[in-house]
Amino acid sequence: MNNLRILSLFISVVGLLFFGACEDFIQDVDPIIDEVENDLLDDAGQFAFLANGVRIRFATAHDLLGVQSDGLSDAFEFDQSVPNATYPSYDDIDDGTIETDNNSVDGAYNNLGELRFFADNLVERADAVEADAADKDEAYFVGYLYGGIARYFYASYFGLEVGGGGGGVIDNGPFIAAADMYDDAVDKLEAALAYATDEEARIINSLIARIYLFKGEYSNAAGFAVDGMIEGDDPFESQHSPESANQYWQQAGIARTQFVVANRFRDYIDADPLEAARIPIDTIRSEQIPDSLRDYQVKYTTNASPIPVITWQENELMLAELALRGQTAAGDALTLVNNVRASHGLADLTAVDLDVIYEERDKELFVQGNRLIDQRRFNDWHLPAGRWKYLPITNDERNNNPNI
Amino acid sequence: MKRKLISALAILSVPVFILGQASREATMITGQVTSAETGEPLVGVNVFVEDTPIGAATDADGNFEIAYEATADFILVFSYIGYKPVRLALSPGDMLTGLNVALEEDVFRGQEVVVTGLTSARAKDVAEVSVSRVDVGALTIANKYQDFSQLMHGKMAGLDVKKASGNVGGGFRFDVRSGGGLNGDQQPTIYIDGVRADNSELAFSGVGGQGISTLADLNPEDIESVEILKGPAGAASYGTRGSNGVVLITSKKGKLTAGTGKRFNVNYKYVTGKNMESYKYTEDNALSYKDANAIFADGDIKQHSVNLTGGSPEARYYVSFDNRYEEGILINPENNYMDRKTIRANLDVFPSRTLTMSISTGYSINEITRPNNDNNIFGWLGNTLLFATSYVFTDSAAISAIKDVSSTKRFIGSLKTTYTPFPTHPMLKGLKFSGTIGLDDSHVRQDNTKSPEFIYGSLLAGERYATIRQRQMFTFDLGAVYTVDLGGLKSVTTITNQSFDTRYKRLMMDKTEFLSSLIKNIGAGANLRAGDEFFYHRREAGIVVNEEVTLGDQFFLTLTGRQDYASTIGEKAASIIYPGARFAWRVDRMGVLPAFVNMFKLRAAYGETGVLPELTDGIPLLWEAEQGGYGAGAVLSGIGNNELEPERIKETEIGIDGEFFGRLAVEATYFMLNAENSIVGRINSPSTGMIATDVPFNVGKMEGSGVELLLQLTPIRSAANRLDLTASISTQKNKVLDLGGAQPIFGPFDLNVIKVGLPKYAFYTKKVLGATFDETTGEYSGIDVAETPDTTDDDRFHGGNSRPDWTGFFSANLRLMKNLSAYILIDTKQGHTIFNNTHLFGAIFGNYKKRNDLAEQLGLVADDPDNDITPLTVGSDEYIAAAHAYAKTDDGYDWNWLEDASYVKLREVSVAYSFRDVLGMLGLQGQVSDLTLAFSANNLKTWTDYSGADPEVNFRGANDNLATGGGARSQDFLTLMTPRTYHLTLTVSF
Repeated sequence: MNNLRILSLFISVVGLLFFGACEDFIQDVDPIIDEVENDLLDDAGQFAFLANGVRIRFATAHDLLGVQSDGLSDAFEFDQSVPNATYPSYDDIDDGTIETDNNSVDGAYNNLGELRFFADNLVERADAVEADAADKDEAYFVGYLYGGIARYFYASYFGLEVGGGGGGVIDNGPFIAAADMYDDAVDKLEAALAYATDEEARIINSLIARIYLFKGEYSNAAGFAVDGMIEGDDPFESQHSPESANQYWQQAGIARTQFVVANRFRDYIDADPLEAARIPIDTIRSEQIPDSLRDYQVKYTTNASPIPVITWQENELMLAELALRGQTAAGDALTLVNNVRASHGLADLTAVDLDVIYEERDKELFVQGNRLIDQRRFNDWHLPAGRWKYLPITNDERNNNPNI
Repeated sequence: MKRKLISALAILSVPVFILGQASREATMITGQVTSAETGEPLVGVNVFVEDTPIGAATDADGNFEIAYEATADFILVFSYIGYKPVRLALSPGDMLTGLNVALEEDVFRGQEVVVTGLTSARAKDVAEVSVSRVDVGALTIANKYQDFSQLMHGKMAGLDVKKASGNVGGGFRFDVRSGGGLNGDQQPTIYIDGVRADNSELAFSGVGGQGISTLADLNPEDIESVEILKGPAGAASYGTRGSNGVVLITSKKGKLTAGTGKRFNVNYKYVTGKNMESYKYTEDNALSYKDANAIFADGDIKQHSVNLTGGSPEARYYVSFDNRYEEGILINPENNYMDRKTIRANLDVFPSRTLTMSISTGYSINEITRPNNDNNIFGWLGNTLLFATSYVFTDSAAISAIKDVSSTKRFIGSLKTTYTPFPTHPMLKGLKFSGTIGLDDSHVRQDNTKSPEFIYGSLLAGERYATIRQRQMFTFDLGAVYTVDLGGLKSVTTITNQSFDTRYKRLMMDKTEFLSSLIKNIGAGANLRAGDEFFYHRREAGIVVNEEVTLGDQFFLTLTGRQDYASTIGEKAASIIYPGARFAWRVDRMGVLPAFVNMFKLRAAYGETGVLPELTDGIPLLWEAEQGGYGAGAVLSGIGNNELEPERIKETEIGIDGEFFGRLAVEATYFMLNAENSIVGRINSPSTGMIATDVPFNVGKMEGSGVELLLQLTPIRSAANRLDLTASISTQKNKVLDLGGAQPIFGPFDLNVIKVGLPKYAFYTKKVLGATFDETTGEYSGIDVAETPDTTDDDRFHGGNSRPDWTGFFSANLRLMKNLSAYILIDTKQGHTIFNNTHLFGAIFGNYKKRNDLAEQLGLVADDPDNDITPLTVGSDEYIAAAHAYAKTDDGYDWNWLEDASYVKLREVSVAYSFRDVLGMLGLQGQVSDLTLAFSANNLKTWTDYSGADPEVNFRGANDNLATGGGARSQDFLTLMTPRTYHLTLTVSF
């Protein structure tokens, strides 16, 4: 019995000693250095950091959407004979036979989801944090502007089913059709106007005008376009860097040529060599496959090349189109088009109609992600029936959103 | 003659013959040890006075001599691997010279003490759990191994080893039984001499998929044995680190020198060898097969290994130095080699009867270079197997110029002490304290350089990526044990605190645009592509209480409880308790079994363990800084769940162990495990924007079960000749039971899945039935894809498993004429599938002859006048068959490239000859005690239906798992075959 008593005493003493020490031991660790908990960012001093996060995600969504939408349009082609064109996911995008688990589309859709959340989250944080109004201006401006652009992207690039229209999903909600999503985009952009400089306001007006144009609300479009970007305004661009490389450069350019440009761009230049100024392309050669001569874009020649979101030239082409669509306030279509052409040293046209506008946009907005939308708008589809005209909302959304 | 055998165990199983008379004044104990069956002298038998460090080892004639001043009764123990030990009770007055002892074979190895838990060890013949053990020291006399993974192939029941690729020093997977639950990478925890060791696979910049294995730093020559506790039933006392099995590596210890008067032994080994390609590509693989075969060249192997061992009754030491240089099988050995230098110094000190100290230290410097392969346009295989024209992506000179070097400096060491404070106190003599401090401290530097002289895809002017990883993990064990013997009942109570403290730091920088090829340092790069650093500090602690009861030498019971704490555990669970209970019954000791049953044991065990959440899994939202065109900005980096708990895996194991006729040993085990609360990552829908990581939830459940059977037979046994046969079969099956309503979780390429109703990481994809035909013309019109009855799903089917249904091995050890030995090992895996993505991509790019020919037969491409293929008549049987075959080579469906990868491998062969007798005849044995020449070969021949190069590779490496965004298993994507290896070894012992 003595032994048992010793045993129980032994277990109790040693046990008490150990158990108490363990809790303290495991809690006494150095904090992580490369991540921060959400609540700690509820501080006006962090708004600039958060706003930059929104911009960065905007840039990574913008270039992916540009490349993929151009891939789905007739601007880009996936040509397997071109060295380094290897992604089956791009091949499928080019064909419009896109499975909902296409992992390239996943990348674009996920970046867009984050962009929308980061932007809205910044606005909510600005609402919640107590700070001087002036300290919140940048947060509101960036949050509303990019929240609006995110919604514009959804409506323009994504769809739920083959043959269906465009639209997107916000925060696990139901599918929002393009018309409503565009309206939401306009609401956000108009909210951003309150915090914008004059030049920024012109950019936002152009963006709103574009949305109305795509919606077919020409009067509203003209109303904003006339207050939009003017000659001499810098383009509004997404900014890239070696650590956030321009995906046109990365996947459809010098770095790797998964997508080449359609041959008509070479034809444009053959017809008028001065077109090379706004259609920068080069020929890709391969010693191994000599018959693989194709052209690829060299508008973006480095990983840090910025990508225009909207330019004063686009605003004038919108005005020209709107003039042709009966919006007298928009101005004279031919003058506007020739003004845009003159900015590249191109000769004047003598006449203009919607077909000319369509082609001018093809050239002027080369590799800016507009062609897919224009093809749909101008009813000039290049793929057989039964193919996607939008990038599909991905399986991750379909499988995890109870409202889809 | 006075004879007293204290141990009932020895009485039952060991015939002891003691001749001669004792003398009370004797201070020298001498004698000879022989084999009971063959009468041959046994060399190197450990003879020691129990509970003291005093002893010696027998010499070449089996003789021993020990100086011992006996003042009271004592026990002399004779211990030798492969033989049952003898415990001889003696008194000072006995005749202590000329003791002749005959040892009996131990086919089951039942007397070897195996670790049965963190704080428990039992002789194998009374162990309550299945513990597998490999005597590496014996194995490496004739066989040579590149690294730890190669060593472990086909050696243990229930262990499935899979090399990630044929890269030297490359990663590998250990899948033990059904591989634990769903959490983490399902890799076992590794301990080296009681120190938890880093077993990560390090990829960093990546060369397409493969990382280097941190276990490649270990020198197999320094390993004495490896034991594996295979699951929670055996490893409950290891707590949150025990669910995927626990691998216990024991390094070589100092040994008393065989023979009298000699204080040390020196062994020197010289190894030369070759790594060679183990497979030749043919036209069936790719039209470009000749180019693919041309990338291989024999790699040289050179190894020098020397060790010194010896000691005195107070201290024993083992020190070694080893340098192994080994080239892989690619044509640019300058970027395809491993150069490993290891130094080990182990010291066991016995300052008094109450205090022992064991010091284990190992230091390694390992330089591993990795060739580019796998999912990679800069790789050798990618440039020779995808397009019919080779080097379309990257020029061969450019590939050759890529340099990827990982340099590791690593210390693993431990200091273990035991202290018995009251050795003579009637009640406290059973109290013993033990403590271990261990450290695994590694520094890895990796440099990946692409020369500016060449173009690498988007890299027009070179790249340099450099990273430094420092990892420091301390292991602390502090425990007390109280042993009490109450007559027929013996109790051993232990309470141990085990804790770990890990600090991890990494710094990386990646620059491009090196305008001069003459200067390659990071500073010369114009363009900063990435620069970052990472840090974490993590602590874990556990308290283990263990009660071990032995009743009348027949019944053995152990109860275990472990409470675990960790810095990572979420708010819901500050700690978790894992229980365990084990029982064994030596039925043979009832005395009712027939005489040919030497040993028969029934055992049963139950235990629980689980894997912890990752460090930051419990934090709801984490943000990090991302660099972009606007400077640094905040982006989401982690989506967590603060209600997480560790998973809980419950395993039950029952088994039978037996030894019959003194020649046959049998081990049979059935296990069954259930995992619950497994953490399943659910991706939020992207529209929430909170998708930086999956969100972890404790919703996963899975089950697994299997049988392990091991047979060992010694049909031939004589003084000069001997044959040992070993055969083993292990089965495993597992099934995911619940994901809490989450959608199936897919790995890369949407192929391996964790899905309810399927085994973990099964292949799950759309199924191709054959071709479809135009109703009017009868022409081939596309792919006939199977549909499931469920109209809401995406029509996927189970296409095979990434883990084999069963594995097996057979080995034979033959010794002829005493000095010649031969060994063969064959292993097999059956019922597993590989996704041959290499072939798929070849088909995409027109490099698959079969598909090209079929297209021509079907008239889908123009008839090539240069071949004899003629278009088939539409609608003919041949046309229809060709159309179906064509559909089944379509690259749009992964199903077409899922292949049965069952195989049988002639894994190891060796022949060795010991010139010991020749040395004796020449009268040189005083100077050279042994000289052995051995030839060994590895991975000699593979029999498989798999159409790729190697049926046991995985392009994403070893530790890839869904929890960290991976999850590709059993996928061959331009993955380097494992080489065939030849070694010639000369061993000289002084």
